[in-house]
Amino acid sequence: MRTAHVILAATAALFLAGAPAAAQSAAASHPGYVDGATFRALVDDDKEITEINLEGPTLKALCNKKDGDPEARELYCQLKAIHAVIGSVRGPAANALTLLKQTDQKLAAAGWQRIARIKDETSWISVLTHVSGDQIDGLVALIFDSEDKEIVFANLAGPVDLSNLEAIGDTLKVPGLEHIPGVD
Amino acid sequence: MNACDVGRERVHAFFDEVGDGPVPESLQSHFATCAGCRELFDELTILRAALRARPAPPMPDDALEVVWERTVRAPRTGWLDGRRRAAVAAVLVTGVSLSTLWLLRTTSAPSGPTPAEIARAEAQADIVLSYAARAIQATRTATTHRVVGSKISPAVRGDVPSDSRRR
Repeated sequence: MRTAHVILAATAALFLAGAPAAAQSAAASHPGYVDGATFRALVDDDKEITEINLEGPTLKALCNKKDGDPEARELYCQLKAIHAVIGSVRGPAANALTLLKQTDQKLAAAGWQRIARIKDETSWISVLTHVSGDQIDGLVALIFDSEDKEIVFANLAGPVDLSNLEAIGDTLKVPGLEHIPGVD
Repeated sequence: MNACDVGRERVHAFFDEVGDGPVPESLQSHFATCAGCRELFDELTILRAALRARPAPPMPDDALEVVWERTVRAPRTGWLDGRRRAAVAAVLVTGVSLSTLWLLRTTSAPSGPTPAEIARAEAQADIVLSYAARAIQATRTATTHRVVGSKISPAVRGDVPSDSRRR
């Protein structure tokens, strides 16, 4: 009977040892990582959704890419995760705005530094950074447009150079981002 | 098997299973037509009575020990017994588990993203970086326009009231 228990325990231990490594993302434990699942739940499945999760080998591949923007490559080499949820919210815009504000406040309460919060008639933007020592190691951008009800949650986990990121943004001409308020 | 064979089986079954109970009517009616089975029944009844009349011989003191020595305590001749069997089972289970784990890891661990996956990832990363960069730019622009601009621009544009300029 005792031998049977030992066999069972050994088998269970062997399988359990392998399971967490597969189930748990390594980047999720990074201090600059913020889970975007709450925002995913807000997004209307019947409309266009962009859900991005880049980490581990994919970021490494982008880092090792021979061509492309060298500044972006440098950023990819340092980041642990890039993930985002972009889509149209279902239900009233006020609900989404409330969730964004709550997230913003929760992150600020957890030690994240709010760089800026901008609000006009139809748009709401908040940018927060996580700082360890004297280095930014996490960035969250929350954007909401109450007119078209588009919500953006973007999180970069890992060392981020803001001026470098801004310069990368200048070189990237992703269509459709001109509507973000406050940008010349 | 003829009818009498069946009758004999029933007679034996009666002594094996019923023993001292009443003889079933079906068997009694068979005896009425089959003298052989009736005779067998009578003989077995006498034999049983004779055996029961004999005194039971006492069991030797070491009889139980002898039985145990020859059965339960007898040395195993097979190589796959008791603990060895458990040990072999343990080794097999562990081996199978390790093999499965190794297979799972080697098959699930990709060798690396394909060029198409890298291109798609780069496009996705561009979107996220663009949004983040735009948000940062928005904060910078807002700061310039709404905070600094409101203090400096009026003076530069000459919007400051003339009476305040005189002061």
